[in-house]
Amino acid sequence: MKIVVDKSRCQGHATCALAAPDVFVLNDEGYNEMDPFTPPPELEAQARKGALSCPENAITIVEE
Amino acid sequence: MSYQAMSVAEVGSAPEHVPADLVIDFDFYQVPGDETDPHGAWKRLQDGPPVVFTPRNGGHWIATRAEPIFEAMQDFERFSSNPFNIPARPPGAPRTVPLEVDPPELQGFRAIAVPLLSPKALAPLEPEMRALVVEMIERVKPLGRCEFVADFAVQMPVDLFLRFVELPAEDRPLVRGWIETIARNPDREAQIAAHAASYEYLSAVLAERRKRPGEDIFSRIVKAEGEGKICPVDSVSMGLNILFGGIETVTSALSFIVRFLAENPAHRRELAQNPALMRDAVEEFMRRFGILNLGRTAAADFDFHGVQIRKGDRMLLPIHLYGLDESKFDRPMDVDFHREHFRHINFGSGPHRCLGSNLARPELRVFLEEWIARIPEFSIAPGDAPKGHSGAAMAITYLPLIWAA
Repeated sequence: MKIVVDKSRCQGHATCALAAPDVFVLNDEGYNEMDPFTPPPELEAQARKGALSCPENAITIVEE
Repeated sequence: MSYQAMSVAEVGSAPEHVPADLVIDFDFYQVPGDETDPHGAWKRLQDGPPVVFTPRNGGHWIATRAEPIFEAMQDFERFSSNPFNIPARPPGAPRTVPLEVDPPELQGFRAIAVPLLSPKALAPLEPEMRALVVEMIERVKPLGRCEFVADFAVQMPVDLFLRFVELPAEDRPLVRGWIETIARNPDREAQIAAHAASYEYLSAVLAERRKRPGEDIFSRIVKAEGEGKICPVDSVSMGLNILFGGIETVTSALSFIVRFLAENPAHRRELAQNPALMRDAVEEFMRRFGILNLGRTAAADFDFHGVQIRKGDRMLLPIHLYGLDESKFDRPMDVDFHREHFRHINFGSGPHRCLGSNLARPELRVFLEEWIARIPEFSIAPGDAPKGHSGAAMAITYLPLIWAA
């Protein structure tokens, strides 16, 4: 499972980091600038929750 | 009143480009049923079409479903934020900054405030926030009763906010008074006076910060003035936008949460037994009891979800209806702390995302943690009933509580 963040859509809600603090890291201003990544299996559920939480629909879950 | 009953067949009650079968008699400041259940009163709109029109308040469209609401929030080019209020501010009244500023100009204003309002910047405030909340709860706990709105929900966000902007606690009654008036007093003279007084107050605060700059948000605004990023007129507007933006909304959120918990013991007990749920509970409460009805203005002629919009048309976006839409959430009227996600747009969506969201979330969570820990069992005072109200912000205006002290 790959997580892809559309940085241009990020508006700094920070819900991803709130829902998945072990998965998403924000910059100092509270925006998600992460490049595509594959979370380890034990963090998949958290990653999914964080991705679904985005009010901008900026985070895509790519099932591989 | 059902959606069908709201229909209005009055000839000439709407502009000619509005289909007659989409016209309803709907005054969003006074929705039938809003006194007992503001969200239930609005939910009925979702029995009808996704976009409707009302001749009230100068005439405006209303998007009723999650899809058009979200799309309009994202599409700032076709749906300008200037003007914002419905009815619109009087001609000649200055625009509210940054609320009524569209991209790309918007970004420059937001950049002034964003660094101070990131989760990282606000994290050090949490212990102070908690201490303040605990102090307030401990003061009210021995009484065994309170009118939650006046005694608590109106006061807590003001007190917290004044600390955040480093304004003296003695100014609390003044600031609270203006907010009460602006939010709830229908008297036009009183409104004008409150706006004028708050404008004067904030101008004085900015003047003081120009002389003695600090690290707070008002100091950052005057610093940006010095860098040519904002003019003094817009500084006051932005200061007021910030001052008022985060107070009435939090008052409402607190009141809806506490009203629900007062009437739903099982949810109360679940939170008491499992405090780890608090973060998700706050999100679920925001989804279920969204606060704002936002205004937009069409910047062009275009088709939108089956209707023809004309340039200048006003559009009301009830962002709380996004969270109540079955297309987004199963059983949307249920409060369920265990949903797969709580993706609401209570803080908006798109470039005007609420700048204070990273302050509001901890405020609500810390409040809930400390209230449930100290007053886990409470209910509505027997023989009495809460009262609500619709408007630009959904509100509970009266919430009589009792508990065993």
